[in-house]
Amino acid sequence: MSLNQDRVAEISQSLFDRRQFAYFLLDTQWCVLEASNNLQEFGFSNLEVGVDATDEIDFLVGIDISDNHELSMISSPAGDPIRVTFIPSVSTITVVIMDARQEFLRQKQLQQKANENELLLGTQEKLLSEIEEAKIKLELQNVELQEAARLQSSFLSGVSHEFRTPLASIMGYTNLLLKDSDETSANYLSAMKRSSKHLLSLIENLLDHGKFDSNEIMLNPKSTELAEVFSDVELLVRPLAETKSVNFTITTDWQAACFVVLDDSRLRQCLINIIGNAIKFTDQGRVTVVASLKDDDLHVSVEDTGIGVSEEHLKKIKQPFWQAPDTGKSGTGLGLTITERIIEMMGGALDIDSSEGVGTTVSFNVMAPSIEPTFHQEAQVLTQFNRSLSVLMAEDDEDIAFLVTLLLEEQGVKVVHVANGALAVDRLQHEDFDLVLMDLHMPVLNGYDAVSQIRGAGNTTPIVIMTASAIEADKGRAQELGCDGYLVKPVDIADLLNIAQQLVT
Amino acid sequence: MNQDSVKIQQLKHRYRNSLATKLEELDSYLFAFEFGEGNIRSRLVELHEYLHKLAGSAGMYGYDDIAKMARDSMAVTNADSEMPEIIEVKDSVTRVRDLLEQHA
Repeated sequence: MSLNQDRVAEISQSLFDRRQFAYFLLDTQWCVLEASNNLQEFGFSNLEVGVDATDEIDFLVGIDISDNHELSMISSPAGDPIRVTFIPSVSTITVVIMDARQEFLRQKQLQQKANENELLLGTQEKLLSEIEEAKIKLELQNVELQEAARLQSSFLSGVSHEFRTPLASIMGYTNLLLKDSDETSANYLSAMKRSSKHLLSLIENLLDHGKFDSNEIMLNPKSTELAEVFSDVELLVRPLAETKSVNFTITTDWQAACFVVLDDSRLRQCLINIIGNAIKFTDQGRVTVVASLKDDDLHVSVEDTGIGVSEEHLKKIKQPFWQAPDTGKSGTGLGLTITERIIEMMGGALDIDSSEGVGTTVSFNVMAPSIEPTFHQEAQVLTQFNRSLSVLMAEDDEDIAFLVTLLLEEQGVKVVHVANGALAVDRLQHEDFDLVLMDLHMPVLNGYDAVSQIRGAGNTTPIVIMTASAIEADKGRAQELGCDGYLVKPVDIADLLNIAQQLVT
Repeated sequence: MNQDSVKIQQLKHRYRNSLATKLEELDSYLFAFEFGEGNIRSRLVELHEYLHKLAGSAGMYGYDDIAKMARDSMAVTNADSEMPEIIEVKDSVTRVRDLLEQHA
């Protein structure tokens, strides 16, 4: 069945009318020739065939219609957003109206998003700028804080050092006074000495702390006999434990003569700090030290049955200058801080475990590579004599005299010790010796004058000078006076015996 | 391997334990040199003598660093040569005392 032309036009119009656009046709005089039925839906209610469109539609006024033209987003007479396209021909103009509400909405949303983005971008830029500003401020503050810390450390070091010199002097003079004091004065002086020592130890801690902050602490690792370190520490801390009736034990798992490489004085300092604290805060019970050496790692644990530390205080215990309140114990609050820093420098770590009212266990490990004893600790092949030698030693320093005497006696040498040159001269007038060992700097009569008097009296006993002076002039003068040998301290006993063998016939 | 006898070990302990006192004594001599009364040269001689003694004993007991530093300081405090500046003396003695302190 075929449709007539009118019907086709009707269907076409109907389809046209369902689309999202409307249209109207104008002649060159703006008169409406034709209009779609849905114009009203687009807000053009008064636009009818035959009317002058410019009377009804504002946007037509002054518009150029010589070519295809489009108004992309304008308002319909009803106020809705529309898109208008003008399609001119020779005698007519077709005006297509499209619904732009969705587009308007999209554009509006896009614009809104763009605005929001711009706003966010602005905020972000502002935040970034604020962060950058804060960073610069923090960096400046950090530099200032570092400088302040450095100045504080420097000040502490300086002040501590200035305090220490006169304080040590007070202690030195107190020692001298103690030697010649009666009982009452000795008690007073001992109290002074104890107080001075306490003050000095506080100052030492302050100094050490300052040195750590300014990176002035250097380790001095060397061959160390572990047993000697622990024995030293025990000697120092045991008296403190005994005054408090605390059962104090040290257990080690190595054999005698176990040598490792570490800074022995710093290890001692750590042990004394930790064990000293354990005894200080333990009024009864025990302090147990257990040390073991495995795979070049020295592990030490110090367990006590003291007052312990609460969980809250345990967090602060390593902080510099912090001290637990209400313990009734004094100190600088620097001992553990310094100890931990030293242990870390020695390649280890410090750990503290404690229960309030039960006790505390402080443990640490440090690197301690085992080594064979060094040359000085090896056996020395000493000169053997056919008979026992007798030696007169004039030496005012007891430390040296005792050591040389012992070392010589262990080689079968008989030693008589006198403390100055005058006593040596006197002794040689009544007794014969195979050899004289003579220090140069001595009270009453020095070595030069003593040698001069001995040789002046016709005594030809070989004399070997033993001195800390390596000055050639001193050596020359000794030779001139008739000395037979010149040894610079530290004197090697093997050297001494070799000289003796050459001199003693 | 020859180990130190018990007596020598005891002596070594004794010496180590005396380092703190030696530090005090050195400080006393330094303090006396700086602030003491009388002839400054004789006070310098006393300080020098003490350093001399320390150089000898420290070396004997294996404290080579103290011995060396004490000998260096002896060169500074030698009263036979030109009188040193107080600051020079303090500086050199302080180096000795720092080592003593480290070992004490």
